Amino acid sequence: MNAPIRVVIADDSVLLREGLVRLLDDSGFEVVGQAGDGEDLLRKVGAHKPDVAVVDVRMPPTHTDEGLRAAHAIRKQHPGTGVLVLSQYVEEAYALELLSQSTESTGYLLKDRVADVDSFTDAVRRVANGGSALDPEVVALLLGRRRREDPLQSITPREREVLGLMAEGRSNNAIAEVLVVTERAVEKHVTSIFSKLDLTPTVEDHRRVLAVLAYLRAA
Amino acid sequence: MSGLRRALGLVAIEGIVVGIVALAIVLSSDHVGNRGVTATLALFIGWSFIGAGLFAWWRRPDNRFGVLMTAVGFAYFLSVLTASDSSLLYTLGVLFSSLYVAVFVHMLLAYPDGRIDSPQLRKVLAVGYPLSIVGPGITMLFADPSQLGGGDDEPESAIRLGTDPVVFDILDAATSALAVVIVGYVLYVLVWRWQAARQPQRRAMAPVLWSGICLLVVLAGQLTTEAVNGPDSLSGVTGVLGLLFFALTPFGFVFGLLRSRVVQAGAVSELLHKLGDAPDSTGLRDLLSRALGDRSLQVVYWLEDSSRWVDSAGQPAELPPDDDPARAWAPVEREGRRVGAIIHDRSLCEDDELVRSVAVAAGLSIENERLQAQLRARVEELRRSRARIVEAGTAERRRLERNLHDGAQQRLVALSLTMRLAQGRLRKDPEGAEGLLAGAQDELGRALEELRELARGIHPAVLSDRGLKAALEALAGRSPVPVDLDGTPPDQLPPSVEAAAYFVVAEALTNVVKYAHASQARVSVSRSNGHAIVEIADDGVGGADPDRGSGLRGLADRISALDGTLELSSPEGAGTLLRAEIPV
Repeated sequence: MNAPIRVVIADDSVLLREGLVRLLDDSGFEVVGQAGDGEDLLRKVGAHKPDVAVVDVRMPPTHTDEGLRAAHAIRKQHPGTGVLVLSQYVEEAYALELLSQSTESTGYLLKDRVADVDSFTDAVRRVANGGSALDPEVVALLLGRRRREDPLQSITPREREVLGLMAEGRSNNAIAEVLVVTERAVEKHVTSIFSKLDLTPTVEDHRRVLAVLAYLRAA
Repeated sequence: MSGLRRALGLVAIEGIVVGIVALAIVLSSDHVGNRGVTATLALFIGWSFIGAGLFAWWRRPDNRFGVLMTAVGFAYFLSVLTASDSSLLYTLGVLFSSLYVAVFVHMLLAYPDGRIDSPQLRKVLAVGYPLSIVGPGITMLFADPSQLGGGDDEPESAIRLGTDPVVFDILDAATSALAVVIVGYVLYVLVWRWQAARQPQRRAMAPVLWSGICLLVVLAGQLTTEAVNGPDSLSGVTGVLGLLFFALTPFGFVFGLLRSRVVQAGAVSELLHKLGDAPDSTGLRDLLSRALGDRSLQVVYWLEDSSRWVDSAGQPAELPPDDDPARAWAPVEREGRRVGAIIHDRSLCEDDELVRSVAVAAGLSIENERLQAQLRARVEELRRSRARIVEAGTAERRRLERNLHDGAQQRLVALSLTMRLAQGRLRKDPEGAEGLLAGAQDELGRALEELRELARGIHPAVLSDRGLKAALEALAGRSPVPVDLDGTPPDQLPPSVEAAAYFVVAEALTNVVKYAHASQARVSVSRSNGHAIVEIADDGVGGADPDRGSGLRGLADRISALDGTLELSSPEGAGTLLRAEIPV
């Protein structure tokens, strides 16, 4: 068995932090540090060099977007550490701001998702391994945007599902699992989507997410 | 007044007599050419100064300018003695022949208020007066009559010590040079004053200052050539030119005085005429500004109810302090009541008669405009209070969101996490799962409590369901400081008034608990004279600051939105009383 994924958690609510610690422990992660604000988080990340930091957007002292700023700082100063940002609300702007530079080792999830243990731990694992995770609600908002001359109308409902899961940061393998189809079938959908949307096919997952998000934002 | 008038009459008679004597001396002179012209000129100049001087003296008895101008006239007659054929009188005449110039310079420097405050200028005069006598005295003591330009008919000097051309030339050049310096300095002072003067001042100063400056320029030129080339070079042209400017000065003065009076009368009647067209506020300001010749003029209005000054837009305004060097103000009253003020250039204070008449003329218009300004001030106050209410609403929403986010919502997320964990353990570790569920139960209880508190802060349910009395009892019951409820709140208050009353009491009791160190508090809500009156008193330390925190200001805005008032009385050490009056 591989060495456990090492995690630092930052949230100003002790209650939630402890719940997260217990959940991650139970799921085979190793929580190496906990922080109550952005500064503390940066210190702990510097000290422990974890694989991933799970960060609340809103923390003291200003209770606005400390978590986001800390996330940027971590991605810049410690490229080896992924950042998964948790937010109480769906803030499309925050999510896109976070993922606009690079989707590598970056994630944005609604806080409520933590109760869905499997998909939450899956997201933590993905981000820790250099992938990305975008909350389905943000993806739904992006897909649901009204557009003039919408090329999204030309894709089938199934392809739409695949597109959404790609935007969330999932691999073909994971998408196949969710949709209960073969990976081969997913690959076919992906190729079709890329050609319909006139996107250049990419192999690496996080590049693919970046391309899809850029497309969804711009369209 | 009659004493002054008699004295002035005597001086006038003396002036006439002296003038006639001077006329006689000139006409009987053996050595003066053009006796007729010289005599007429002398009379004209002397009497002009004496006449204009007496007029100024009479109009402004406490201003010494008139005295000085009269003195110039008499001093000028003194110089006419040079026409005398008597050696003694001739010598006296020459000695005093320049005195009138010294008095004239004195007059110019003292213009317009008749005083010389600067010690430096006093020193200049202290040198100038003796010099005006020493200069010609040197001629009388040392000059060879043949050295002078005059004819052979002139009488001998009565005080000649000798005729030494070298001594005479040196002394004469020295005194002339000194005179040039003095005249130059005086010129500099006058030109500087002109430049420093503001528009209304310049208008009043112009005629006298300019004729004086022209005369001094001629005099300076004349003295310079004399100092350089000796007295021979005295130019007839500059002499005549100088005399002309000199002679014009009293008329310039009278003209200035008359013009200012004519302008005043014209300005006021034009103002009255134009005010008839009911100008708006900027029009009114412009009219007054034109009437007083002061472009910087402002009109401000007095708000009786709030005892403050505002401008025409209803914005708070301030009067210049009494010691402001540039600005001053004149009150505008109407039927004995203060309605406004005209803020003007300080130099207009010299013309305060004009300012007063303009203020009287504009009284009615300013009174009308004041009502407008009052209305605008009220609108402005309403606008601000409305903005504060919106702001307070936003702040309140932000606070609620923060409370929800950090409280109940956070707890519920943690709860769902705990439930999920318990679910995972249910089979493997039933005891652990039970512990988790018990913790979850407590969390749920706390989350519910927090939600209840929040909801009460938004609007207490008991207030809508059971009315103000029950709501106040609930507030009193929850307060850690014992609260007495005095009497029963009146029934059938409008819901907005009840809510305002409730929040006044809630905020006040919160403050009592937080700051007052009180042992008890008293709350009463009553109805009197069409007002709901809410009072909260405590026996605490007092000294509450109404500007502390946003709570009280938010309340004041809430109350003023209902046209009510909020008063805080909190003397140090004597408890605090908060009183709200809301019209019903």
